[in-house]
Amino acid sequence: MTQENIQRLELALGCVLFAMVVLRFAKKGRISFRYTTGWLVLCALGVFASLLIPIFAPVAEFLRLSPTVFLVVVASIGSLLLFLQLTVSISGTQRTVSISGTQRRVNKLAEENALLREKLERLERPNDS
Amino acid sequence: MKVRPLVLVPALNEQATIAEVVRSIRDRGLDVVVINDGSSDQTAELARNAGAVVLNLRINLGVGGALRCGFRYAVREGYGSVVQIDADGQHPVSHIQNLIETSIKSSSHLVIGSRFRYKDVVMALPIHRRFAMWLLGLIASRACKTKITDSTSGFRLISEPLLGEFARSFPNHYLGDTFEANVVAGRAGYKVKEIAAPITDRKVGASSSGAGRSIILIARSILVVVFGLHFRIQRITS
Repeated sequence: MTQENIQRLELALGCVLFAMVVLRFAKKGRISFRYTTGWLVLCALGVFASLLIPIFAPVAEFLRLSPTVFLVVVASIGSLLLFLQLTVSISGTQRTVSISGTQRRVNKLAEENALLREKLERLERPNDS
Repeated sequence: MKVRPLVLVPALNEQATIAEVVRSIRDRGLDVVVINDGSSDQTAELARNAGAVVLNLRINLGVGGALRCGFRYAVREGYGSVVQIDADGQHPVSHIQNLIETSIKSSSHLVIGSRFRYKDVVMALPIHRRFAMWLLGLIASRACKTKITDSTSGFRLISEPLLGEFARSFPNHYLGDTFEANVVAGRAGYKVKEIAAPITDRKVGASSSGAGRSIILIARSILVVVFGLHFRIQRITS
């Protein structure tokens, strides 16, 4: 087996393993569906890219990188974009809170608050009249 | 446990229609809760003045989050079932009774009101939406072991013990509260039934679903089903 084929296999295996970890976390509800999709798409692209390394070879050569390193760089940029998206969400620029673990807690807090306020208002009503 | 269902109305900036919707439900002798999902207009005040109990969410949680809050309220107050209805006046309040009767007659835990059981409504939809609805319906039908034509319907009745399960665990992402919830209920062995329910045009505003969104929702739904990423509830014990 050539060095290039070994690198292809390693890249594909790495992506499959990472996808399995992502799915495991998703099934336990530790990653929101939104980010699960993002990571799975990235993994699928990684597997796809490992099959098409010769196509990327000229671009990698132009950048004076090996095709595998080039793909790792592209995957890293993809990961950084996901992290950037997450950071933007955390910064609160969106009205809908969208952070996996914190989201559930904030949502629950908002629900508890609404339910308690309703109960409190109901209890206070007879005293007003 | 209260026999009559509680009507849940999730609402976000629906001041144009909310009072009329609440009054028409109250006129039928039903209790109604409006879950104000972070509205910035007069939705909460108008709903309260029209006779609804209002749950005020300080931040926008989406329809699923608002519904979960409503489910928890229903369980806390001892209701045996809830009817979900949109705040924009699209759903026929007169058909709530059909949902109730179907639930009682068929002992169903989830009764869905389908707009697509009327053929003329199907024809009025753009082709990409029709395809999306057909595909989602196919997946939901398989899970629920009954024909589902409108798996994204926001007009349905949910009764115990499914109501209690949804009060504990219910998603708030797009399609999670409708399609995914139907699939989860079916897979957990709850009885699901679908009946015809006409839907009128939106009185105010417009639907946000476009071709791109349809493609995303199909891809997402397939992912949910294939990888079993949906939320979990307890299987029904007979």
